[in-house]
Amino acid sequence: MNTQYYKTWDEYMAEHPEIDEKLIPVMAPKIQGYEEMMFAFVMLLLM
Amino acid sequence: MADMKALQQERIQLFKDLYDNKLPKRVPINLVLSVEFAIQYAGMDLAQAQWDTSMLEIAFDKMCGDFITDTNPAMAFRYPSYYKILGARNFVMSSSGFLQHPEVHGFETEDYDYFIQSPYDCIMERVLPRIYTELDTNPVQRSIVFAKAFKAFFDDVVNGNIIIAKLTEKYGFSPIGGFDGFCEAPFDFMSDQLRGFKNIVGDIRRIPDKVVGACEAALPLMIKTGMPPHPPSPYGATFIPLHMAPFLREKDFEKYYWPTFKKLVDDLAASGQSAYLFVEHDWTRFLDYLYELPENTRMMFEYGDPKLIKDKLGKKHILTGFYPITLLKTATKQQCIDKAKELIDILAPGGKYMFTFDKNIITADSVNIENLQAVLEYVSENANY
Amino acid sequence: MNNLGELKDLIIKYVEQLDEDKVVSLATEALDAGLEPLELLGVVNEGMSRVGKLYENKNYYIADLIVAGLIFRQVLSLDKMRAHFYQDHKRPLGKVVLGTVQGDIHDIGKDIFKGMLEANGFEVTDLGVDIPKEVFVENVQRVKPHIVGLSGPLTNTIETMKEIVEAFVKAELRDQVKIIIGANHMTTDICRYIGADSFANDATIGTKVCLEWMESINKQGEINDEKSGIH
Repeated sequence: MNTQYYKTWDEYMAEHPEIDEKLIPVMAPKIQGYEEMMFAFVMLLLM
Repeated sequence: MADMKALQQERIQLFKDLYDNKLPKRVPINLVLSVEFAIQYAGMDLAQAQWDTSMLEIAFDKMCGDFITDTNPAMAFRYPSYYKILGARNFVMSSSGFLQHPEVHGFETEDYDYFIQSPYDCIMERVLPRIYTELDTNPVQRSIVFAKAFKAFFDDVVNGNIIIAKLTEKYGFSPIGGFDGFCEAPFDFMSDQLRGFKNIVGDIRRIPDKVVGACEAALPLMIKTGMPPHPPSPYGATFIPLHMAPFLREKDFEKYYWPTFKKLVDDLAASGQSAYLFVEHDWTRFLDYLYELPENTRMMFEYGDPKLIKDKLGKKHILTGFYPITLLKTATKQQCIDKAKELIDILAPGGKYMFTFDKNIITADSVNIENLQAVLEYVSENANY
Repeated sequence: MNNLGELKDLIIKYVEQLDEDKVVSLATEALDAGLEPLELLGVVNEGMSRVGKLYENKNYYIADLIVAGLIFRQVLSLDKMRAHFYQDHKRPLGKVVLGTVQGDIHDIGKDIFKGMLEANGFEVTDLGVDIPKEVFVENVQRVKPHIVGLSGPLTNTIETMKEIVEAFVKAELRDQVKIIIGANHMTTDICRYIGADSFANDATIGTKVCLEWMESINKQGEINDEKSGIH
């Protein structure tokens, strides 16, 4: 998506090289989960 | 409890057979009753129970216990809490406690170019603050409003889902068979709240290329929105209410409505997610188009000749709807049952049919309850393929 | 430059074809050439009624009616038209009180209906949306319309409409007005149940019904002015 307001996990990781690889399996579902929830919420507001 | 488990398995099998192109043991019933119906039926205050969502369990429980259906009839995803926090102009509780939406638009003619370039940015920056007045403020205040609104949304939706899941187990409903996602055709998305139908109709005349561009820009957003949060299954579906097409000439439908709508349904299907279309108003002139959609698209018809539609679409797609809920109000019990029989005789043979009404039942007083119960009972006991 | 007769014909044709740019430019030319605003309105109305026929014959659809309404409003907003209609309150063909009933805040159908009624010479008092029965009664007592229009696209407004009709009966207003219901789920049975005089599933039919009523009211020899108001 061409937007500044939504990132895929890969895009997020690219901006956060400091993330410990070991934590990715528990961090990714959480952080990306919230990103997806925000998107779903915003779209629901317009439907 | 064991009985309920067995009943649930039976119901699940009905839908599995339906969507696996087999003939289920009987016609499954996919009844949907609005949250307003549930609250009124339980004799509660409409506004109160939508705010104090702890009251919903009682309302949903009573409703689930009194109406025969194979999927859970309860549905709730719009709550006044987050709309109020956001200062919504588009979802407003009327004086009688109904959450409806007046025609507003958040998208002006000069926004088309930005929307086409970056639709989500345009939505976040320009559209949302016009429709949700409490977001039309400085960034600090805006972030607080957004946080509160999301928390309210999350709390109320999760609360509702927990109650509904509990009742699905209690009453042995099938957890599959209805829909588990929601989105809109790109043209409807543009017309409903972004541009407004009256405006977009003028835009089609004045800036047609931009309307096409905007629908194409909205398409990936709708595809992403329509995918469920869990892996897709052939037994789930994304609910897509179809609004504006019947108001358009065929030429305009072909150019502005159909291409992005078709792509949306195709893309969802390619990912394994069927569409559950609510075909509102009269789509008779567009039946040949509907035929082109991927196999087993669910189609709930509000209007139309059931014979013609069964003939044209019934071998490829899952049909439902047609039963006019207004009949439940004005006719006798026997007439209501006769109508169900008439529709089943036309639509059931050969399969690919489940029973529901021509639209969701919005209030308890819009139907005669005894008639509704009688029809559901009749269908559950007599509707075979 | 075309003569007035030709201009009028062209305006009718382009209204029918929903060509906004041509209608506006020809209307401007016609006004500049001396066409009276009221006559221009008549010409546009002729085009509108052709649009109505195309809609009835299912060549045009609601989107086209909306475009016709847009064109109509564009013509009305031309300087010479605005100047005329703000100054000169001609006697309306009839008076209508219109509103979306309590519990409902949809207004697209009502707006189209209002536009068509006004285009056909009615004076419309639009009460807005989500209107309780008391407000309908108050306004009927005040405005003394010939016709009351109840709009309500949702199926849950059937009982509310019945209550409004009953409120008119109680206030001894029922025989003084004709009541028409506008909604796209309406049938004769429901109309009877509610106690209205007629119903319409779309604005063109509704306007036709109202015009027929006014014709029959006028034929009865009643004085059609603000003082005596209703028949």
